[in-house]
Amino acid sequence: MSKQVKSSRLKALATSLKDALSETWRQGAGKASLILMAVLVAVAIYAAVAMPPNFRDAVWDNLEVQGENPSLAPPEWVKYLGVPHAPHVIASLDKSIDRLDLENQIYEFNYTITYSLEHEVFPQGIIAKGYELLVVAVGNYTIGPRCRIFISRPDGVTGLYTDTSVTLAAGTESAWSRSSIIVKLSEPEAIKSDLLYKIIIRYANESGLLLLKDRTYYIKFNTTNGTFLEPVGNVASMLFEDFTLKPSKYIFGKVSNINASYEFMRGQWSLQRVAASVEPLVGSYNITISCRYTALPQATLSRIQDLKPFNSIKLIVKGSVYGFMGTDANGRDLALGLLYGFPLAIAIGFFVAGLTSLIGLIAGVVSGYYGGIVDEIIQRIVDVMGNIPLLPILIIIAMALMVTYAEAPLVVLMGILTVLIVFGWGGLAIIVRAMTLSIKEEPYIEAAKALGSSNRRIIFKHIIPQVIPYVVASLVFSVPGAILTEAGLSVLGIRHGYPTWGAILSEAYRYMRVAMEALWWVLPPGILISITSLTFVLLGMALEKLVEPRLRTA
Amino acid sequence: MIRLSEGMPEHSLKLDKKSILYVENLKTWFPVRRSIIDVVRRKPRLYIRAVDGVSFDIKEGEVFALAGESGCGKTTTGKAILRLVELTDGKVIYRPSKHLFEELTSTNPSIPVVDKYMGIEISRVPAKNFKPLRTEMQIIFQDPYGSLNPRLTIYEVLEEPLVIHEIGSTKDERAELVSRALEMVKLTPPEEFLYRYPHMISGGQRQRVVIARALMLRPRFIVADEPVSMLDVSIRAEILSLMMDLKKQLGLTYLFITHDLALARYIADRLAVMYLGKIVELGDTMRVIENPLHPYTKALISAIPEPDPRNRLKIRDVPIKGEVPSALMIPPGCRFHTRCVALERSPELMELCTKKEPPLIEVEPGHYVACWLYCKK
Repeated sequence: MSKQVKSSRLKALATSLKDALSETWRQGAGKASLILMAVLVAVAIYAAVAMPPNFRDAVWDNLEVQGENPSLAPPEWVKYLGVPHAPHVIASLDKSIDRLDLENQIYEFNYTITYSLEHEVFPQGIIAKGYELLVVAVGNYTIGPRCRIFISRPDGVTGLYTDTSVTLAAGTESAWSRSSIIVKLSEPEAIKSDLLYKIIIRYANESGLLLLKDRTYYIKFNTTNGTFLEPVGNVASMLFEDFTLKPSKYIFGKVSNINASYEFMRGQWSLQRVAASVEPLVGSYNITISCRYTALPQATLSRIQDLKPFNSIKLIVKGSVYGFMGTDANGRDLALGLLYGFPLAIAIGFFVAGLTSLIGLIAGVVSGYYGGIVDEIIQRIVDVMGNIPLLPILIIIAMALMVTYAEAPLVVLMGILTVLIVFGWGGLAIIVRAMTLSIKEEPYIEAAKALGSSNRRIIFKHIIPQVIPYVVASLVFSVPGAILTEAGLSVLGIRHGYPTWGAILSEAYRYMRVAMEALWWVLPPGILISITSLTFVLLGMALEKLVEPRLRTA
Repeated sequence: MIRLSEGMPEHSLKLDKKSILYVENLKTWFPVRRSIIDVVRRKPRLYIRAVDGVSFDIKEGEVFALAGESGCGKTTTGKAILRLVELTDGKVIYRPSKHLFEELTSTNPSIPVVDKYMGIEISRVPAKNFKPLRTEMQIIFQDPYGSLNPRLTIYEVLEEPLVIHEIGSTKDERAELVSRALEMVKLTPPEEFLYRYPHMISGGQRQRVVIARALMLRPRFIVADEPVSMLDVSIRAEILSLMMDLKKQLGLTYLFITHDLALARYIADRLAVMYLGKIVELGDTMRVIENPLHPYTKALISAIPEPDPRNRLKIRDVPIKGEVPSALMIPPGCRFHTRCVALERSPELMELCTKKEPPLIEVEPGHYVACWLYCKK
């Protein structure tokens, strides 16, 4: 019998749930909302499971990761729209062509990739990183390789781009192990002038004069040995400075002119800036990373032969397009940020709406059922809360939290959500109170009292089950409110640090001038916020018809 | 001062071992909310005097009917006895069964015991200690549609009293008790009704469920608050005979609240007629109905429709005038004097009736009336 009772209750619950679902499905709005909701929840679950829990620190705000991506790059699929682009290439190099020169005690490993540029667009740079460096020990010393990047261009120019001597601090690593340090092979400090000069020689005219912009000065250039003759050596150093700042425009470009700007200071003209006018050079480029060990004993060399200097080398040519959703101004992958926003948005929405509804339910039932002074106190609190303007309070509190807890974004976010909850429960409490007032006058409540029911039992058994459907509908309705408020606050400048959709929009807002052209940055978070809100509003509308049958039209 | 004539004792409680319930001078006044201006002006607080000094006793095993028009306080009296509304003043004494008496006095030594017959003054039992008494004192409500929670199945409705009072240790035991209760009120087979919701059964069946719920705790005393007035006429007789059967079977005592004197005559042993919160006449049902003394009772009885078709065209003369006064402003003196036809005929009583409230006096053995007409002899 008891099993029968239990199963019948479960069955009743299941059927009522099924009824509610099928009733919702029958309505147009309900159908749309259920489909959207399924997609939202599925994506949110996928994101929550698939993305690392410390996504914010490990990926989103990681400068290392940001540096590997082009900044403000549109999504890759724009190429199908006919937009000229430079492809983004990530190569993991583990196959090398080795050259062993025992006579000179040299061992060289060469890694090469070919990059082809089809459109007249500059890529954003070249990044090379070595992983798991082999710690080579000779006697008491540890020795690293000398790694150089050579670039050979479609116009025949081949030159040295960077030169890095990998050094290891003595005694930090045990001999012949793999170091966990990531070795950067393309740092600005490692850039050499060789490639720059070779490019300029290639495009200098026959008399050795390169093109000149200035009215009075000419720059003379010795094409045979690649040195500047006139006017002074610092033209060369300034041009090199420009090269180290924006290497990709020289590497992937043909020089048409060199511009120098002067300023008249203290009675004489002085050089301010030297930069080349360049145009993209279309064709295929060979990028070679060469790592070599020199002056090592033969035994050591042959041991390296089996092990290789790095386990893998990552070479990235930053293109002008990136990923599925593009990147923001810092080079963050927007696809990841937006994906991470799904569980965040749903968590924020349900956390705020759930607690708001719970507090509203309890306050309303207690207020309505017990009446008297308790009722009076709760209702006056609701009145006061309802008349305080939420937004200024929210901004002040959030600002204070931002300043105080700059290092703990979770505290700031929770603080904002807490304020939303504290100010959010009043409306529901009033409605639940009114419902409770009418329910508690029903004869079956009096009958329960005559049977000796405690107040708690009456509340939980007779009143709350009647109020719950309404509370659920209102919960669903208030989910988008929380999401929208959070987004609104982000745009107003309250930054807790989590990559919510609102926070992404707010970043775009900060870079307003560029962002207006970077539609892939502005539109998707806005659209996602709208769709999520729409889902919950539609579901709320459908549910409202369920709990309020008077709204049913047919 | 007018003195009561001798040999006409005022109605007083006679505590004997046959009685199950005594009610003495029961008052239930509801305060009217005052506006701030009224408070500032120091206007006295007004009360709706729903029940204004009611005394009666009910013998074990009898059906005691409380009759009167709507708003006269009969339902409030019933609810006040069961402490569903707080009483303002007065005594309610209930004589529980022996084992309940022992349980009550052993668990709570301060419980107010009044006499050698083991009566308990339940009007002084604090609300938190009242729960055990509810197993013996139950109520059947007027409205079978409102008195069942629409979200609970019949099984859950009937199981509730068992859960509250922790009767039946296992679920099976409770289910058994529920099935038996359904059989008792002739809802058979019980399995057919257990998992239905109230909206799935008829009004008569619902009232049977309400009765079954009241019986779940094996009560001895039941307040039946107009149990059939909202049912179809065709079902009333069924429910009434069920109630009478159950009374015989289980040894119940009913306080039967009704506005229908014909019904009272059909089922009640004794009858009390209430007007504006007070009992105006009390006695054996047959005696009160066949020989009504109070002008109000006379008016009520002459208003009973006659089933004789020969009288169908006769417009009957009901000896009453005016409207019921508000319970806020009860007329001074005899509260019926504003409507009394007898007063018109004997104007010499005018001073008495308008100034002094008539006591409930015994006119013939067991027949009490509160009217100055019967005091003057």
